[in-house]
Parts: sequence; C-alpha cells; structure tokens
Amino acid sequence: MKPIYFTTLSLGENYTRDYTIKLIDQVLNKTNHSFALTTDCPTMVRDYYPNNDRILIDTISKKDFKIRLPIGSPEGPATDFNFNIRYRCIEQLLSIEKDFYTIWTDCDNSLEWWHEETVQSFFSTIYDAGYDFLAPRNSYKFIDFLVDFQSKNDPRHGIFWHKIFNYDLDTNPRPEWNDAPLPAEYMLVFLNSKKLISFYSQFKWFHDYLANKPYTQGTWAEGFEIGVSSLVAGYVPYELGWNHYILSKAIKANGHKVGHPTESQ
Amino acid sequence: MSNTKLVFYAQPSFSGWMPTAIFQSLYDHYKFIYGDIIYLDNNSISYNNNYGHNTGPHHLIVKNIETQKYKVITYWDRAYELLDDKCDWDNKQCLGIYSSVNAKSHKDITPASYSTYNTNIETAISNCDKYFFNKINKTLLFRGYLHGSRYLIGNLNQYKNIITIEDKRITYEEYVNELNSYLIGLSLNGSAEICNRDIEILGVGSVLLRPELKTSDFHNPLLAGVHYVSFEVDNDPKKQLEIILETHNRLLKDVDYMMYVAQNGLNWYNSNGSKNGNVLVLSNILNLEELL
Repeated sequence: MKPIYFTTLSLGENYTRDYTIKLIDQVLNKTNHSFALTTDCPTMVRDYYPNNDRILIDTISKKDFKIRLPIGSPEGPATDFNFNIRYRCIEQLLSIEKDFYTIWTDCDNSLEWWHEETVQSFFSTIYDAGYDFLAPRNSYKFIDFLVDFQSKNDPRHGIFWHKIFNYDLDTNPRPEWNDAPLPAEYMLVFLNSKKLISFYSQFKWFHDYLANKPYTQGTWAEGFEIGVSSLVAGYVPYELGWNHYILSKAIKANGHKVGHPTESQ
Repeated sequence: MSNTKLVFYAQPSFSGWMPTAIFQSLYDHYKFIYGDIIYLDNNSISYNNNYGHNTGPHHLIVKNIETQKYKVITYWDRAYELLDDKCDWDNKQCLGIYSSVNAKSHKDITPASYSTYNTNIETAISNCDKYFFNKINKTLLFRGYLHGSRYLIGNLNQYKNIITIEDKRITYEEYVNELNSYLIGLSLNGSAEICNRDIEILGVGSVLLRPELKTSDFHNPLLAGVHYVSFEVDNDPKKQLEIILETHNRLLKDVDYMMYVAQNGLNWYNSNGSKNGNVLVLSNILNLEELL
C-alpha cells in the first residue's frame, strides 16, 4: 500500500474554518493517510489538530503573492483570484523522499467514502496500464480547443480563450503544448511522485508569467496550466469518468460548500 | 443479506473464460463501494439454447433486488438480442446495456470494451517478448474456425505460399507465440464483427489487419489507421484476397507506420482489452449509483 497525500490550498479564515478543516477531518478519520496543506491560517489548523504528524502545513502569506490579478487593464476595476497560486500545493511534497500518490483537491470538496484496498487496487491497476495522472476531462486536449477556437470568429470562444492572450500564444504559438490534456481541476490524482518536480516548475512558470504581466484576461480554468505542466513533466493522462466512484462517491465536488462569497481580502 | 441491495449475477469464473474472469474482477472492484454487494451464480447451466437469454453465460447482471432495476454487461456476439422480448429480459427495468458488440448500430447499447478469449491467453500474452523487430514472419496467417468467407478464401490454392488459412487446433501458448511471430496479424470477420483474435493481436504488439469495424464501438475508440489497419470488404473471395494482399504489401513497405500502429494497438490493449483494462473501462462508465 503506497502512502497517499491529500493536498489543497486554503486561503483566509472563512474558507479554512468552514471548508478545509472539515475536509482534513474526513481525511484523518476515514483514511490512514496524510494531509499536506498550503495555507495562510496555520494557527487555526494547529488549534484544531495539535501535534498531529499526519498534517503537513506549508505556511504562506498573502503579502507574498498577488492574490487577485487585474482583468482587462492594469487599473482594474475587475480582478480575478489568482488560481495559479495553487502551484504552491506541490512545493512541500517535493521534499518527501519515499514514493507516494497525491490527491489534489479544492478545499471545499468533501471526502464522503474511502476503502483502502479498493482505492489502492484501482490506482495500481491504472498505473500498471501505463497511466499516472488521473482527472476528469483529461481526454480533451489543447489542440481540440485550438481547432474549435480558430474555427470561430470570436476571440472569446470556449472556456480557455483567455489563456491564448494571457500567455501570448496569439503571437508566440506553442505547438509543443498541443497534446496537453485540459482537465477539470477540482480533483486530480498523481500516481508518480518523481515527476512532481517538473510539474511544479512548469506550473510556477505559468504563475510567475501571469503575475508579472500588467493585467490578464482572467485566470479561471487552471486546468490549462495544470494540463500543460503535466505534459511537460511527462505524465500520462487517464480520464476519470464523471460517474467514476472516485469522483461521485469519494471526493465530492463542493461537498462542504455553504455559499461564501469569493474572498476579496 | 439485510443490507444487501445490489447483486451481481453471473457464471462463476472457474473456467478461466475471460468474460467471467472480468465479471469476478469487477465484483472484487465494487464489493466494498456500495454496501454489501453479493455475487450469485445466474444458473447459466439451465440456459434455453439461446445465449442471448438472461441466464446466458456471457452476461453480468447487476440488479437492485428491491427495485428490480438492473444493468447488464455482455460479451455476447449478438448483444442486440438482449433487446428482444423472446430472451426474457425485463426491458422496462433495464437501466443500461454495456457492450462493444453492436454498440455502433444500436443506440440502446453503451460502448464498453472487448477481451481475449481466456485468462491462459492473457497470461501467455503477458509472458511473450513483444519487441517489434523480433517478429520474423512477414507473410499472413489466419488460424480459426473456417466458415463463410474464411472458408472460401482459404480454398484459393494459388496463394498458399503467401497466406496461410487453416483451422488446426494448437495450444493457447503455441497460438499466442504464433501470433506474436507475425509482423501483421490477419483477422477475418466471423459470426460477429469484433473477435477475441483482434484483441489478442493487439496484445502481442503486432499490426492488426482486418475489415473496418462498422457495427462495433468502444468507450475508448479503436480506430482504423491509428490502432489497426483496415481493408475493404468484397464478397468475391478472390477479389477479397487480392485486396488483403495489396494492403499487406503496402504495409510492409512502411515500417514506421507499422510500428506506429502496433504501439498504439498495444497501448489500447493494455488500457482497454486486457482483463484489467476491461474492468477500468467498465468502472468508468457503469455508474451503479443509478441503481440505488
């Protein structure tokens, strides 16, 4: 049985208290695995779980990041949460020497079910078949999007149109990214921990590139950055069907969501 | 039984026959997910001369015993028979039929996958050296039950130095080693379109050469020109054989393309056509929560 690290990014007291703490609680109680958290609220988590060595915390400060990025012009007023900060979820995992699986989830998802033997058997079967990156929508490739995008006379066509302009692909195309999967990013599984370093480096590159631009066209759908990073790292994508029990029964999308307005502090 | 809602009905997997091995493995996969699921023999011994019947050995029925709603996974050659009232299926309670057979031609069938004939063959495939350049035979061979067009093509004596068509039985291991020794594996349609032989040729990493698949469909598509090489079907056996040989000759001149197709086919086998591949595909599409 390989160790599994659940990981998420949790910024702000509201999200950490109402979502992340509940998710950590489920992971600790339903599984024997560890939680690698990246947060600006470490004290809150430590107060809930003092001296728990199954919780790894990478403390970050909002002051060190551009939490929101301007949309459309440097002055705003529209801004978007900088979803690329999620690259930091991987950083503390890089120092773990043993081989492990990673389940990377949004902090407002819940863990409703777990059976160790079933999940491990599923992961090892997938890995033996030659795949090491699991996510919904992994069969959708960047080239599929590009062909559709270029066939329309609409610069805002499709859910990834803004990536073209954010990363200047209109003037500097990157055909080497064409085969990148475009996963739905709320739940990802990595079955090869040795490739995480390359994945992390590419995702950080995207973060730095966008954070250093005067403005963006929006930052949502980071499945693009995740997919390209997985391609660069050499991960082999496997599409998890939306009805697969790992998605429908284990990690439940928005399972803890109570309706917080998006954080703006 | 008190907490049991879902029951897997299928033939026990004692025979090593691949569909029942897949059913057992699928059960092992699911048995801890949706409460106390049990596995029962579907009394296949008493089938009534009709493999399409709901006690036939090719089927796995997953049923909610409270609501009687069910889904069926089938490897039967004529999966469309499951839609026939004569076969005693309670179609009003059916929430899904999963099969590769007839899936393109019948909208009620959800494309799934297909398999090798039995677990001995899969084991032999796992054990053989699939290195492409170790495949020494460049001619064509078809070994199988000879009927219909297979029989007629096999009777064309003047071509016997370049193509062998025969029905002599050999052991499973000999059969796999033989398939593996050929660069290009020929498959001819039989009583069904898709055949275990197709999957076995993919599994040994040779180039699958067969008529284009017209009625079969798969959850992860098996594509002509990508995973296998297709040829046109002609009802005249002599013309059919000439088409096959012309395609074969063209292929032999393009080693890069042969390697591309063979590798794609092998990858497809690993994630779709092997026992575990079938289980992975089925677990991605079954959605048993619909039965609860």
